[in-house]
Amino acid sequence: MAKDVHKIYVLFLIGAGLLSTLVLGIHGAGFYATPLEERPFHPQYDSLKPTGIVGQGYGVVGSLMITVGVIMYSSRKRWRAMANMGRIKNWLEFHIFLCLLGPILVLFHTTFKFGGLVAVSFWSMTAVVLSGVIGRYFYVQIPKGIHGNELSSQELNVENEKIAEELRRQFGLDANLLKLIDSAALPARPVAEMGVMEVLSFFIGNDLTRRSRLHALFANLERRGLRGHMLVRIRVMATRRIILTRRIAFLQQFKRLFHYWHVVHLPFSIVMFVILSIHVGVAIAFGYTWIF
Amino acid sequence: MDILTRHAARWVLGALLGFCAAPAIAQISPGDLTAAHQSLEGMGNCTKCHSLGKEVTNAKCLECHTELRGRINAGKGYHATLTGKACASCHNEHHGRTFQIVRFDTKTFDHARTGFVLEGKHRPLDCVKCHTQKNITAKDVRANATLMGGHTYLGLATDCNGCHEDQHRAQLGLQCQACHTADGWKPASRFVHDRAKYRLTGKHVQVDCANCHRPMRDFPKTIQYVNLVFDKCSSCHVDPHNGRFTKPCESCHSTEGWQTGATKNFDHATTKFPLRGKHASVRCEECHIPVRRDGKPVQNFVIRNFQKCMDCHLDVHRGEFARFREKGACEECHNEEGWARVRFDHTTARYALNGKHESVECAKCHGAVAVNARGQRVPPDMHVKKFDACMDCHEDAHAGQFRRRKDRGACEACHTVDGFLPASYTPWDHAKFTKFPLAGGHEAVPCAKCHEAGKVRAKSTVQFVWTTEPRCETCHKDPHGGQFARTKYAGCESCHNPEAWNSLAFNHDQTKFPLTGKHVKVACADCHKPVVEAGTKKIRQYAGTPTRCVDCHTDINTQPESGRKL
Repeated sequence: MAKDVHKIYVLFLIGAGLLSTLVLGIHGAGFYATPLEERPFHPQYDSLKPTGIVGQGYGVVGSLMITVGVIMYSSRKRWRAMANMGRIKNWLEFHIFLCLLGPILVLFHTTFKFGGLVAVSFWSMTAVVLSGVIGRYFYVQIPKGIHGNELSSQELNVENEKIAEELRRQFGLDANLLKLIDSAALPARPVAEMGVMEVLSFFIGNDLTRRSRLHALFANLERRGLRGHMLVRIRVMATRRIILTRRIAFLQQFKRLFHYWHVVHLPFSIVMFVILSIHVGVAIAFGYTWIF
Repeated sequence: MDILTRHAARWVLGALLGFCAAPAIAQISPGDLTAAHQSLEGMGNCTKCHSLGKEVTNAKCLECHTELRGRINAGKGYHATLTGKACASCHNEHHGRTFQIVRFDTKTFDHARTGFVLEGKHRPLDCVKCHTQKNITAKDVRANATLMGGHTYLGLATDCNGCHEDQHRAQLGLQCQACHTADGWKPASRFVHDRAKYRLTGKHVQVDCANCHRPMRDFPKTIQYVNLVFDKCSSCHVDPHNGRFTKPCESCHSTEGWQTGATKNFDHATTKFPLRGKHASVRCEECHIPVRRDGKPVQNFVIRNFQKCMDCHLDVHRGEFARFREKGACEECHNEEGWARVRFDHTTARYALNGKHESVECAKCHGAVAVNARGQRVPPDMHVKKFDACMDCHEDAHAGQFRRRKDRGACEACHTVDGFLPASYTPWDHAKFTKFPLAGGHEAVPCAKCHEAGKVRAKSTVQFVWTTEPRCETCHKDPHGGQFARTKYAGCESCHNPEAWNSLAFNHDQTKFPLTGKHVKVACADCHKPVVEAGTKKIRQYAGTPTRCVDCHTDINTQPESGRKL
């Protein structure tokens, strides 16, 4: 998939997700804002209640999206027959789309009322979603090849050296300036001595302070007479080097964290599906079959 | 994922499922049930309300709510009107303990659908005014009402006593609506007293109920409506006659009113004073003037002195007739038919009435009833002091023309009490009293031919007296046009007399042309032709008639065809 097409694809998924959320929120705002005990007397109650034609539809469609998203992505990851069907990154993005929009629909299905068995399912779903968001963060910190295969430290160092060479050759950055860039990517303590929480807090802090850390570099470059387009290109390449340097430095830590992450993400998913199954089973048993 | 991770994941999953198992069992319900259904909480109770594959069915609800099932099946009450509607569409659940499972807009609720139309004063009432535990009469509802937190709209009776106390303490039965409406306890607009043993008539209809129906002796707040004693008037009324009459009240009075009834029913003929004539229409109190007894006005029906008229009436004649035979007793002249209908014998008076005087209205002589300054009618003085001469009462119709007569114009010389006309005056009286005795044709002439009206004072007064000597010309016109005025035949009487106009005393021989021979037999008119003109009329010429032959005759020799032959 070409880079621009991929960008449009991602933007479409984000837009679809946000628009759906917005439309559903606006449509039922009055109902959802009504206190729980007053809702049965709200004019939209019959349609938006969890067993209503619209409300139950949210639940059914949302559940299906989650189910499809999970099965599809898991199959692609685990089923060898699908190993060559597209890039794993794109599958992950669609999995994320389905598993973000699905829970949003389920959220509207609950009418923001969290109680009983379904609440366990809901909170499991929430845990899965949040862990998914965190997992996605972990995931991107582990650089992948073009087919999604994880890259080794050596391959990453080669890639990083290419960026350094380009900065030196094209923009004339000397060793001091490159050192300045690398210093913005690395912690003060040796990485091997850092705990899990310390690593995470560093990453978050580094992401938030990256711009200010590069400020000294760009002030130096401006003093050297570099302006406009050149500076933008240097910024992009410097950022890439910072990110890559940081990823190389923390590659082992994030691989370990990502393994741990599976321990959380998967069980919550299973719990969610188990209770979802019970919920759906009970609903069907009692005759709440939606449009069927 | 390595083996360690998989192992850890399994442990996490196991822990999570174990953690969720407990709430899952307890909380399969989507929310707490209302307090009324609290006992149905728990997984084992789901199917008590939910039917497998059929959501929540009405049958499940009615399995417990038997009080409703019975009413719906009987087609009674509000729920029986909701055909095809699911109970859960109004009575939703799983919204928390405090959720109002029975909630509706009490302002717009059509209460008529319950089988009890809210009317009158029921309409603005708050629901809980009636729908309270104490008003629920249905036993099945009372039992379930406790389960529903003590509040339900079911189970009220539709009869008044379901909510209202019997204010009459079972005196009148339980059919309140036979008398009262929902518009208010008072007035009992449907009550018709005719249905009671004692029917209201006359003024009793207007009497306020409380005047007869008083609080019960043992229950001061309850009015007594039955077992009232009403067979006698005195059961309710005080005897204003203080027991002086032994007959029952209704022998004189009726319910039309104390006075009205009395005058209507009371037969005064049963008393010593039967009412006759105008007495029958006199209001009772004009004779039976109330007297005060013990400071209160009491109608006085026993009149001790009533034998004489003047026991009640005043002597308006102020004793004028005391000298009469009956000492001026009223009934001597008057009777009960009316004051003006007098039957007085005037012959007993000094002036007996004769002739036309008999039919003259009393007031003509005695004057009419006057009204004094205080508005009181004052009868005239019946004693006429001067009545010797006619003109004491009458006016002189002749305006004093006869005043110089010897009898000073006494009316009775010519008139009588039988009438002013015709007068008793005769032609002989004319000769007796006047200088112009009536003779001849004058005797047959009506008086008015000579005595015309309009010549003396008032135009209506007839002239009877002349100041000049009577002459023919006074009455007659000269038919000869004054031919004889300067002759020796001046004056009518020279030729004529009163006997008749043609009865002449004329001697032609004394004229210049004595009649001789055949002239004696010739008619006067043959010679005296109408030639003299008097105005437009031609009159016969007597004076100056030509005396020559040819003046009358024609000479046949010269005028053979005309005139008399000479």
